[in-house]
Amino acid sequence: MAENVVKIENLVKRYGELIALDHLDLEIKAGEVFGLLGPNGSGKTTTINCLLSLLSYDKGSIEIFGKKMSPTAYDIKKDIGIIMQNVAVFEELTVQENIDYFCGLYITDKAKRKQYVDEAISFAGLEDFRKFFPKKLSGGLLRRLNIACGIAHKPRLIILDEPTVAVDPQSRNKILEGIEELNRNGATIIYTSHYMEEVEQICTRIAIMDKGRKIAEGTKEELKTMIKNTETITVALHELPEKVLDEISALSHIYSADYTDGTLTACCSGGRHNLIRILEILQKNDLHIGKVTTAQPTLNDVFLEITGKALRDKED
Amino acid sequence: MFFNEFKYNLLATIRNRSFIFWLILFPMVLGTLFKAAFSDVYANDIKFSAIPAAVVAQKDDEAFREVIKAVSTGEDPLLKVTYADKEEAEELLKNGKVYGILTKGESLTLSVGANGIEETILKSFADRYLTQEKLIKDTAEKDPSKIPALIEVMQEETNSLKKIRITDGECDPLITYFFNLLAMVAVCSSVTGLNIVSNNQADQSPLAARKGCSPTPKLISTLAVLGSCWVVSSGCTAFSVSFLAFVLKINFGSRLGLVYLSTMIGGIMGTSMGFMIGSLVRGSEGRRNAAAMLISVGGNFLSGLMIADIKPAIMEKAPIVNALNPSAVVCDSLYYLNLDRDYDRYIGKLITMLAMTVIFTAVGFIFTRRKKYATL
Repeated sequence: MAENVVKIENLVKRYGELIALDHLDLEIKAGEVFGLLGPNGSGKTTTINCLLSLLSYDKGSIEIFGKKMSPTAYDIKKDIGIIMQNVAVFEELTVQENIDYFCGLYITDKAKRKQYVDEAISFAGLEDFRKFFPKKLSGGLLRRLNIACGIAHKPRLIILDEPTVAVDPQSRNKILEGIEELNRNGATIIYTSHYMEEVEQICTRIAIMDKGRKIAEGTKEELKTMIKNTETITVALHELPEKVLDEISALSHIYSADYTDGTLTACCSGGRHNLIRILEILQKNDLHIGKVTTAQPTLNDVFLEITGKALRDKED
Repeated sequence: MFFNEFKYNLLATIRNRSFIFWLILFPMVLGTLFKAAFSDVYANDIKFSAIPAAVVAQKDDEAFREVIKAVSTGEDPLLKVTYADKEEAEELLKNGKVYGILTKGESLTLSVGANGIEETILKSFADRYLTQEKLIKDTAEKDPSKIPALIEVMQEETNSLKKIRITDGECDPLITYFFNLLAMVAVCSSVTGLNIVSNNQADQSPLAARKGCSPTPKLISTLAVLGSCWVVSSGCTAFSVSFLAFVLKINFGSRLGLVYLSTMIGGIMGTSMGFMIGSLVRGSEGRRNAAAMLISVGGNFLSGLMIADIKPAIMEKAPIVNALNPSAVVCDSLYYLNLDRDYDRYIGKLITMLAMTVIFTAVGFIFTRRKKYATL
C-alpha cells in the first residue's frame, strides 16, 4: 500500500463565528492526483493554506511525508511545489529570472538550477517568452509561468490551487496535460478546482467539500455510485400526452420523468435497457421522436444530490 | 539562498518604476526647479564682486575721484565704474548696463532704475560717502596719505552688505534648500522599505505567501531584501548628490565625500523607516503607502523643505521634534558639515542616523517575525 504523503486529522479553522474547516480529515497517498472539489467558499484554499502552514488553525494536525508540518519545517517545504490561485511572480523580472528566482529558493547548486530552469521553461512551453516581463504575457501564459515557478525545483508533492481560473481552453488543456505528466514523473498532486470536468479528467481520487466539510471522497466511479442517478435520458418531442408520461414514470428503474419545453427528461436508477423501453412506449403511441441523448452522472450530479445545490453558479 | 534573494530583489527594485520616479526622477526635477527658481539670485551673487555703476562727474573733485578709484580697483572691487555724461549714463541705466548713476556735483546723488540688492549696496555706498565726505575732504587737505586707510574702512562697512560669511565652508548661499532636497530623497527611500513587508509578509501579497511556502527562512529572506533595498536607496541618494554637484553645479563645499556619506546613510535610514512603518501599519498597501508618505512629507515640511522658516521655529519651540525627525537629522548633518570647522556635531548626527536605522530595523523585524497568519 502506498505511503501517506499528506495526512490531515480533525482540522478546524474558524474566522470568528464562521467555521471555514469543520473537522476535516484527509489522507493523500503517494502517486495520487488528488482532487479537492467544491464551490467557491467551500474551504479548499483554506485547507491548502493550513497545509502549507501559512495559516494558523484552531484544532487538528497536519503531517506531510510522515512529519508534522510547521512554518519552520524547511525539510518538508523543500519537497513541496505550490501553484497559488493568484499569480505570484515579480512584475519586474523576466520569465526566466522569475523561474530562476523561485527555483533558487530551493536549489542552491547553480549548474543544477540552470538545468532545472531550462526544463521548467520547456515544460511550460515558454521557450519563446524567456525575456518577456509578466505584463507582456497573456492570461494563459502567465498561468503557465506561475506553474513553471512552482515546479521548477522538481518537488515530490505539488499543490495546485485553481490553476486554470480565467484561462483560455488551449492553455487549460496544456496545463492539464502538464499536470498529468508531472504525475507520471512521480509527483503526488493535490488539485483544487470548482471545475468538475477538470477534476474528472485528471484526478485519481476526489474529495468533495462544502461549507468546510468533506461530504464525499473516493474515485470518480465510487462517487458516482453514491448517488441514486445512474443515467439521465432526454428525448425531444413535439408533444407528450399526460398518460404517456405517467406510463414512462411507472417503468421500473425510472425514478423521475418530466416533460418541459419539448423535452422529456427521465432519470434512471440502475436497470438495463431503460432507453429502449422508453422509446418503445413513445413509438407505441405514434409520437414523433426528435433528438435522443443519454448521459452518465457527473460529479456535479453527485454534488447536487448530496448538497441540493450545483457546484458552480450559472455564470461560471 | 541569501544571494539569490538579494540579487533578484535588487534587480526588481532597480526596475521598479515607482522607486525610480521617487528616488531619481523626482529629486532631479525638483533640484532643477530649485536651481531655475534661484537662478537670479545666483546671477546676482556672481555680480556682487563688482556692481556696474555709471559715474557722472559734474564737478572735478579729486577726493571723490580717489574714492571711486579705490572702490573700483584691486582684487575684490565693489564697483565697476563707467565714466559718462548724464545722457550716456541714463542710456546705460535704461539698457540695464548699470544698476545706478552716481552723479557728483555739489553733492553726491544716486539714481537707480529698480530695487534690488545691487541698488541697495549702491545706496549704502552713497550714504556712507555723504556721511564721511567732510571727513574725506578734511583728510585730503590735512594728510592725503591717510585717505587710502579711510576708504578701506568705508569699503569694509559697505562690503558687509555684500557678503556675510559665517563659516569657513565654501558653500552655496542657497544650499539649505538642496540639503532639504537630499534629506527628502533619503526619507523617501521609505518606499523601498515598505516593499520589504509587501514581499515578505504572507498576508500582504500572493508573492509573499508564495515565498512563505519556500524552505528559505524568513529571517534570511527579509535580511536579503532589506540589504538590496539599502543598496538601492543609498545608490539613489548618491546619484542625487552627484546630479546636484556635477550637473547643476551646486557647491557643496570642500567636504563632498562626507555629503555623500551623510545622504547615503540617510537613504539606508529611510529604507529602514519604511520597513518599520510597513510592519506596524496593518491593512492594505495603500494605507501603508499613505502612512509612509505622511511621515516623509511631514518630516520634510518640518525640516524646512517647503518653508525655510519652519525649521528654526521648530528648533526653538520643540527641539525634540527636530531631534527625532529623520529628515531634519539628515539636513542637520549637512548643515554642520558646512558650518563647523570640526566634525563633532556632524558625527553626532551620523550616529543618530545609524541609531535610528538600528531601531527602525529592529522594530521592523520584531513586528514581521510572526510566521503564521489568522487570515490571508
